[in-house]
Amino acid sequence: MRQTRITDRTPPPRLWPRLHSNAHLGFPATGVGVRRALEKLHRILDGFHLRSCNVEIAELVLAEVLNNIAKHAFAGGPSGIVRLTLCLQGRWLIFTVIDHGRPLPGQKLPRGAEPRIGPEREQLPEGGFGWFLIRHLSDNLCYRRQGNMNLLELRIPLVSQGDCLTGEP
Amino acid sequence: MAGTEMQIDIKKHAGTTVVRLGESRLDAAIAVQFKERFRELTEGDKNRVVLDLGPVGFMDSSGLGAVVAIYKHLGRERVFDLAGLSPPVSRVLTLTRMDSVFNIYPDTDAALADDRMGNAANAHH
Repeated sequence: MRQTRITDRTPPPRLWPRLHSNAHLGFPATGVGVRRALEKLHRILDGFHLRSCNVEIAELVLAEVLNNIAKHAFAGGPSGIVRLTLCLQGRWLIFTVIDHGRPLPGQKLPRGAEPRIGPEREQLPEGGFGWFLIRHLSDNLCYRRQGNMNLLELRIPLVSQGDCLTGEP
Repeated sequence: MAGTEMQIDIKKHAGTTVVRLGESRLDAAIAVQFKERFRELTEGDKNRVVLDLGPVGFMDSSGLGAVVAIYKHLGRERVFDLAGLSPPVSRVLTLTRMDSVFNIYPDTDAALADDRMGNAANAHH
């Protein structure tokens, strides 16, 4: 992937890093492109010496965001490039995601309501988890359509003493 | 992934079929293929099915959707349990409350030791 570059792989100090650490990734908005980008993101985050659950949660949130772009923003047309910027700032991982695909429906973020789990096997939901997970695990979620560009920003709070299973800080 | 055969294998025990997914990721890239292979492997008998996700270190919502889809596809008579969930996989089930739908065992041995064939209704806990 020629577009991919990592500008800073220097690990920050242990515990809560005070320094800004940045990384930029560019990759095709396809299933394979997203998977490779997530694997790369995982390695970059490992280099930040965070607790493993913080890396896992960030990877999950970004997987949902990026797969959504690959699946919907470029559906039925030629694939484009997604640009991802990561910034480790204090107790947050801040992500900016830019693509030139179609806008989100209504140019609004989906509500991401919690899927309803009933007792009937036949009625269980097979989808609708993505935006719920994104909203549940991130804050300061912000979407803008600017010209022909989608710009999404989100912040993932790093779990310290909190519940590592559910990502509650 | 395109061009590579998905790692999935099946072991039949008395009354129980164990399907083990040997992939490190159950994600959007393999969800459809996984559903198809699982259906092929579990067709043709009434065995309880244990899905062992031991090697899987990452699952996204597409992967979860695939697990729900295969569970539904088995039909209400078939018992279906999960085993060997890593913390990232467990987390997705917990956050979406899908952990309340499935019986989850630490590993295949624990699942086989708990023979639930007498409990074919697969009651929710």
